[in-house]
Parts: sequence; C-alpha cells; structure tokens
Amino acid sequence: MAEPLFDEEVPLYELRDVHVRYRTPTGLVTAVGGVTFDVKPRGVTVLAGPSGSGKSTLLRVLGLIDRHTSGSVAWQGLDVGRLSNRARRGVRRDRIAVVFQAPPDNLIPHLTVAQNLRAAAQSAGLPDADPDILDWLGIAGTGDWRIGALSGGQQQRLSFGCALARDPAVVLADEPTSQLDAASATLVLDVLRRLADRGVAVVTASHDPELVALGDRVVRLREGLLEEAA
Amino acid sequence: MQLPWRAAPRAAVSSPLTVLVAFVAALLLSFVGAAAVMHANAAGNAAVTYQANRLCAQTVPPVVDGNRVTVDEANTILRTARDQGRAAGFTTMIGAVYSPVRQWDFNGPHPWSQFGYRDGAMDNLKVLQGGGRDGLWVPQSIAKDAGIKLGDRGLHGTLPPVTAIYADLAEPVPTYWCSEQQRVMPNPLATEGATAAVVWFPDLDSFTRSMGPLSKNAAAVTVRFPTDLPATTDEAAALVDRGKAAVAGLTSALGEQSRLVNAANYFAKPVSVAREAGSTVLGAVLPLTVISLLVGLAGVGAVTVQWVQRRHAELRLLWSRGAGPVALGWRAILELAAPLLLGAAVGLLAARFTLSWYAPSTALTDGTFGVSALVAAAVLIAALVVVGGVTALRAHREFQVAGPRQTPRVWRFVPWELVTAVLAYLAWSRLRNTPTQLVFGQPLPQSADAVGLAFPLLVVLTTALVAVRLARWALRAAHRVNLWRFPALHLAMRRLSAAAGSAVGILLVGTLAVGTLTVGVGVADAQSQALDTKSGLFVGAESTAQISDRVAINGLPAPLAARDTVVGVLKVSQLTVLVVDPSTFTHAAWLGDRDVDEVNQQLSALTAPGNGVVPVLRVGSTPDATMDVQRLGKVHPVGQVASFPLIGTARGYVVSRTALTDLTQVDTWQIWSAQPIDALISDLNAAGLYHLSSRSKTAALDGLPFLTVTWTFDFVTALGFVLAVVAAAALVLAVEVRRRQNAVAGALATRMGLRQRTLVGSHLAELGALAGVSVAAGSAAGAVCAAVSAPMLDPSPWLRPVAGAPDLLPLVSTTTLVAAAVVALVCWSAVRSVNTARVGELIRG
Repeated sequence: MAEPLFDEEVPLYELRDVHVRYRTPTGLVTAVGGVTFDVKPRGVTVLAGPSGSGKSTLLRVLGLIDRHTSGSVAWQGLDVGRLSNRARRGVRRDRIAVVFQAPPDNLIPHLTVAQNLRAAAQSAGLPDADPDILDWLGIAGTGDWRIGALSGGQQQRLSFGCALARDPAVVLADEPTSQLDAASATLVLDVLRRLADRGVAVVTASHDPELVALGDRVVRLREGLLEEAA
Repeated sequence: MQLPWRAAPRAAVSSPLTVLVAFVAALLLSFVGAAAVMHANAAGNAAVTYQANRLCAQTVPPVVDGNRVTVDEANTILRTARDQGRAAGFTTMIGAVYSPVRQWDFNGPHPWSQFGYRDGAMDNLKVLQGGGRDGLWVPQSIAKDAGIKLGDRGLHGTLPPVTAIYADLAEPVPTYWCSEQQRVMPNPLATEGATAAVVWFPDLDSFTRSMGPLSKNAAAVTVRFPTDLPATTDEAAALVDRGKAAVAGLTSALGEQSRLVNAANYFAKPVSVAREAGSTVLGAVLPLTVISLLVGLAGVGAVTVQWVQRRHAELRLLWSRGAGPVALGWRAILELAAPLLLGAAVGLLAARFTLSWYAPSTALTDGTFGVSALVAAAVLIAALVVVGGVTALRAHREFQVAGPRQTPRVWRFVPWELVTAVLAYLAWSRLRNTPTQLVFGQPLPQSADAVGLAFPLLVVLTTALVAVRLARWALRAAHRVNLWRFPALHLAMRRLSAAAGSAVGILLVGTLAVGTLTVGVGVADAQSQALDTKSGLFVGAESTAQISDRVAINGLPAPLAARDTVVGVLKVSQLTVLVVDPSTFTHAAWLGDRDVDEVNQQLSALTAPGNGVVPVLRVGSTPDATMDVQRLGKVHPVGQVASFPLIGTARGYVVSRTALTDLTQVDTWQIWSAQPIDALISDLNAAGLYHLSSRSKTAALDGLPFLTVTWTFDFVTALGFVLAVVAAAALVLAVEVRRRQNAVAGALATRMGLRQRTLVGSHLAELGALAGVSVAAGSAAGAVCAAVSAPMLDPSPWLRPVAGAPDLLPLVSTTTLVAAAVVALVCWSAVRSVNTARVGELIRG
C-alpha cells in the first residue's frame, strides 16, 4: 500500500484559526468559529462532538469539498484556500478519499462490486484496484455482485475498499458507522484500524464512543469551537 | 474513459421514466424543428401545384405563338421549335398551324371556317360520322350549316375529301385543347369572322400544299411542349430554366424570323410566387417554432434537473474523487444521449410520415429531408448541450459554491410579458398601417408577411406570460389564505403552492397550447371561409354559365329546371340588377350560412308590380326610397340585404322575373347551379343548350394569398397540438414525480379522517385549476386574436365580405372536454396511488 510521500514530521493538514460561515435565508451562521490544530500523516484522527458542533463541516473543509471562510488550511504546507477549484480537484483526485455517511452514497449502484473498485482506482489515475482488497475487506467472492445485493455493513466496508483502491494519503470518513448495526460497525472499525496500519492517514468525524476510542488523536468540538485536542 | 462514464448508457435503464421523458422531449423537439422546414417547403410546393392547376397544363411549359405568318414560315418555326425544344429536354411537342378564318368555299356554301393541322388533333376529337384519317375532319356545326357530307371536297375539289364529321368542342375543353380554346372554338360574342370552328387536315404536308398559297401571310402557328406538371418548386424552376433555354435557342435559331413569334414562359412568375409563399410561411411560423423549441429545451432542462436529483449521490461521489462539473456534464450526456438520439430520429421520421396531416402537400423538394435532418440534428445537439450544461451548472452550484444562491435569479425579474406585449403592439401597428393590397410584381398580400402573421402568436404568448405572472403571485400569497372551511380547496391550494415551479410551467405551456390551437384554427378557418364566401358571392353559385335569351325567357328544360335556376343580369349606371326566379333561386344559388327560409321569405315579397311599381330587394348601400331606374321603371324597396350572390356588397337590386313585363330588356342570362362546373356543362350539353362563359366557384378567385395564410395557421395549429401534448405530459409527469410524496401524505390524511370525497375534490381542484386557467386564458386570447387579426390578414379586403371571426365554439368545447378528460385521468391516477399506498411506505416515508 501507499508509502507516505512526505516527511513524517510535517503535518498532513495545518489548520490555523479556521472559520466556516454559511449564508442562510435567515442570515449568517457560523459552523466553525476559529479552530487551530494539525493532522498527522499517520494514524486515526477523530473529530468528535455532538451534532451541530461543526465536525462534519470541518471534515468537508479537510476534504477540499467546502471552502473555509477565514483562517488558513495547509495541505502538506500548501495553502489550499488559495487554490483554484481545478487545483483543489487535482489534490482531491490524487491524494484524498472521502467516505460519506450513508453506505449507498459511496458506491455507484449500476456497477458491480469489482467495477466499483476499478472505478475508484481509475478516478485516481490507476488502472485497477488491488485484487486482494475484497479479501482484505472480508467480502471475498462478491466481485460480480450488484451493490444492492450487499448488506449495509458490507457496502460501508466496500466504501473503504474503494477509498483504499484510490491509494490516497488520507481517508476522510463522516460518521461511517452511524447507519450500521453493532456487528457491522465493529467490522467497519476493524477496517479503519487496518487502513491506518497500512500507513494511510484516517480522519473521521463521529460521536460513536467506539470510534472515538479507536482514534490515535481526538479533536473535540463544541458549537464550532475546539474544546480539546488529545 | 473511466468506468462510470463508459457504463453511463447502461445506467439509463435504471430510470425508465427519465429515459421515456427524455425520449418524448427529443421526439417533440425534433418533430417541431423538422416539421417547420418540411411544412414551409411543402407550402411552396403546394403553391406550385395550385398555380399549375389553375393554368392550362399546356401553358405551364414554354409556349410559342406566331400570328400573321406564311405557311412556309410556320413550317420553319415548327421545325426549329422541335429542334430547340428537344435540345432543352422537351421530348414531346405539339405543333399546330391554322389558316385565316374566312368564308371558305365548300361546293357552293361558304361557311365561316378555318383550316388547321395540329399534331394528334384527330386523336382528341369525337367522331360522329366516318373516321378515315386520310381526309378532312369537319365540325358538325359547319357540316350542318353548309350541308357538307362525307366525301365532299372543298375549294372547288382541290382539298382532300371529307372523311369524318366530328362533334364541336364545348366548354370545358379537354386538356389537349385548353391552350387552343380561343382559336378552335367560335366565340359568338366576337365580331363575325373573327373566330370559327376548324376543319382539320390529316397531316402537315397536305395542309401546307393546300393552304400555303391561300393563306399568304395570314396563317398562325402554335407550339406546345406538353410535359408532366412540376410537383415542387425546384422541379418548376428547372422547367422554367429549360423553357428559357428553349426560347433562347428558338429566338437565336430563327434569327430575323424570331420577330414573327411570341415565345414565353408563363410559369416563371408563379414559380417565384411559390418560392415567396414558402419563405413567407417559414418566416411566419418561425417565431412560434422557436418558442416551441425553447419550451422543449426547457423541458429537457427540467428532465436534466430531475436526473441530477436522482443521480445526486453518484455525482457527489465522482466529484469528491476529483471529477469537475464539465466531466459530470459529460456523464449526464452519455447517459441521456441514447434516448435523446432515438427520440430525435423518431421525431424526424414522424415529421416526414405525418406530413399529409399538417402540411398542404406531401411533395418535398430534393434535399428538404436532409435539411430537416440537419435541423433535427441541431436540435439534438442543443438538447445535449442543455443536458450537459444544466448538469455542469448544478454540479458547480451544489458542490463548488455550496450554500444559498448569492445572486438573485435575474430572469425572474425581467417583465417578459411587457417585452412580448411591446412586440405584439409593434406587429399589430405594422399590420394595421400596412395597406392590404396586391402590388404588381408582389402577388402575395403585404400583410401576409412574417411580422404580420406573428401578431396573434405574440398576443397569445403575452397572455400566457401574464397568466404565469399572476399565478406566481397568487401562489406566493396563498400561504396567507385560510380555506379550511373548504378542505378540498385548501389542500389543492397548498399542493399547488408547494410545487409552484411545476404549476406555473404547466400553466405557461398549457395556455400557450390552447391559445395557439385556438388562434391557428380560428385564423385558418376565417381565411378558408372568407375565400369560400368571397368566391360564392363573386360567382353567385357553385357553377354558372351564360345561356341564350330564348332559353332563359322560355324556361329551362325539365331536368335542368328542377336543379338549377336562371338569373338575369342588368347593368344600370352604377347599379347591378339581378333578375331572379324566386321559386328556384335558393335551389342553386350560393347562400353561405344564410337561412334558406329567410331568403325565400325575402324573395317571396318580390311579387308582381302593383300600380306600376316594381318591388325590389335593395343590396348594400342602395337608397331606401322609391326610385326610377332605367329599363325597370319605378322601383320600391321591400327589403334590404347587406350582400347578395353576384352583387356582393356593391349597390344593386334584386327583382323577381315575374315582376318584369319585358324580359328582353335583360342584358345577359345565366344558369346557376349548385353542382360542380363539369356536371353543369355536361347537363347543358346533354340538353343541347348553347352556353358560354362558364365559371366555377372553386376557380373564380386566385386563392393563393388566402391559402398562404391558411397554411401558416394550419402549422400553428399543429404546433399548438404538440404543445398541448407537452402540457398534458407535463401534468402527468408533475403528478408522477410527486406521486410517492402525495400518496404518503394523502394516505396519512385519509387515515386521519380525510374523506374520500374531499381527497378526490382536492385533486380535481388542483389539476382543474391549472387546466381551467389554461383553457380559459388560452381560448379567450386565441378567440380575440383570431377575431382581431382575421380581417387584417384578409388578402383581398376590397372583395366583401372581409374575413371575420369564425365560430370557435366547437373548438373551445372540444378543448374543454379534452382538458377535463386529462384532468380526470390524472386525478384518478393520483387518488389511486393514495388508496394503494402501503403501510410500509408510510413508515419509510
């Protein structure tokens, strides 16, 4: 799997006084109100906090999906806030994998399991996915299956498989276990752990205590502010 | 290409409704674009056919006539014309040569007659006696008057013997004779000796030998090149070009002798008129076609928005993996291209194969289908651009600049209805201020230009936009209204305002559809009726012919008297006096939409004169006073009509023949019939009655200007029909898209005690409001527009009556019934989905 292409000591992300504000029909809403922390290039970083604390917003900022309103976000020393949409897409395509909350949102329904893995690999400029990924995910033999034939847990594991197939530097997962039963969630947590063990940085937003416990580093947020980083 | 893009066409199968709607949208778009091109071309071709049929078929190709030539010169002209004609592609030629009309000797008697030879003449005459093709053929009238028998030899025995007596030619002459009618049929109104029937020679050589020395330089020659009539403007133009080449060659070859002949291409002008008719129709239908295409493209845009919503998760996933808006646009194109392409192809073929349903001719100029295919392809490309563009824009807005819209939707604040109203006013102003007259060299009326014809459509568009604006305001204000005393109405209102976008879209297309249908049918019918009425009033009956005073005064033979009527015509200073037979007049005269009993009642008042005063019906603005009229004596009006057959709306009187003491005072007598001209002539010939100057209602006026307007609005009707289909489909789709949402809400409400009657009532009120406003606004705008513009678009307003508003009640009734049926059907579907909603659906919802 991916060897880190950068200095272990250089943070993957450096966030300095990051604000994210949304314009809504009722006025300006501050989702993140001045957050400063780093994300290391290895291990599992968990953004924890109750609903509305701004963790999902922050995750989208890290995934270069949303732009922060003020402050600075650096990716490997590069200020991504100043990048054009095209350049941000380039970073996203080559180095970042995002796993959304709902399992079906991470997969293309009219492709088979194997085709989904291949599509994910191709999106990062790779010819195909590692053939052992399904084995590694514990869903071997499902390559020809339609997505609808998989359970929710299997789908979410496949979502991480697709992320892995893209050979990213970081996997960003937004509450990956929130829609799963306990057994499926445990399997997903195992995948997450093993993903981190393969040298991929994992950043996840969650208020699931088991997932929080999995984190090498936990960033606690409350009402858009950093409560604790441990 | 990456897998998600490569597999996109297959992905379409997972959304059959989207595929179906995309297919139908492309079909209609392609149909409208291709049909506009084909219709305009067909209109030009129909104009060619119409004008070719109005002319004698032999004068459509070039004609060559020479008068006051010697027979030798005639022979030279015939030979040269044959050579030059053949060089220009005219393989068949009919040449004729005629001696002067004289009292030629026939063994003593000297009947007025002329000798002639024409290629194929003996094949086109009806032989009564004999039939040998080696002698002269004498017309029955001359044979009878001069006592000529078979075997007689004229001119003191120097002519070939008479071998046949043939039936005189009578109107209407067969096509073979149509160009020679003036020459071969005696005209009793002409000076004595000016015309005469023809004694035919068997061949040109014998004619030349016998008549050459006698005709001196008083012979005549005619050359015709019979050919198939052109069906398209291109064929007609090619024919004219060949004709010009033949004429130029003939003129050049004849050299000095070319001054003896008059060679012409009479069809050159009709060809340019036909082309002008085609371009006028195209220009006139273009605005509505463009509007229809824009509506169709907006529909494609709506389908794309739905597709984006349906594929939102996949698009977000691809975007999070680095795909840009443009790449996502391509993703949409690749998925929807197949149904769009298929729809466009089917639309193109449908436009071709249903041509007879909407176009005035099924003949198309070569290459027209290719142009239509190009238009369909352009429309397809536009649809694909819309699909890609809308997807890319939505992706950009949703993913790259997430959050509420920073800039307001400017187009919402543009007063489109004011823009179209100003355009409508300008079109109306131009229409009103343009003198409607046929100008020399411009055979179509000036008002029938693209701008003039666009006026009614702009009014309909303005009405639709005003309806949409008011509906938008009403729906925005609807949340303040409390109608819970009428739960069905309140529910309907809430549902409408919750889906205001769909509602106003359907309203726009629906009003536009009903309006264009109404105005299309209205103006087209008005022009057809105007042509029919004007022709009817102009001729007086379906067919007429002038007959002799003797027959008119003594009465028609029995079979004719039962069906037809005799009308006398007197011209007294500025007045036209019609002498009618009240007992038979209404059998045969063209009365239009007049009540027969009422006309009979008016005519019955024209009894015999009392105290020397002749009772008359005054027509038009004739004074309502007892007056002395030359040849009638003192006349007293006993009734008044605005117009009357033959007199029209001019000044005149109608008088009963029984009221006149001296019928010989009448200038001319006509027989009027309700039958077609052929039947009337056949009856007159069968009865042995001499007749002349026959006229038919269908050919009395040049209908091309009327037809140009009618053809234009026929296509407007077709577009209205297409828009109506779009509106109905949009209604079905809007309900279907919200089916689950409405079904769950409805099922929940019914379980909470909502009565079935209220549920049905709410859906009827919701859908009925959209359909009702569309039908009411569209019909009103269409009817008013048709009434206002019909007289303005009348190509010949000087010929009364001017085109007026047609009776649109049947159309409006039909539109209302169809709209009610669609509403009932969609309502049934919505209520059914509520009643069949399952509990599981409620839980999941």
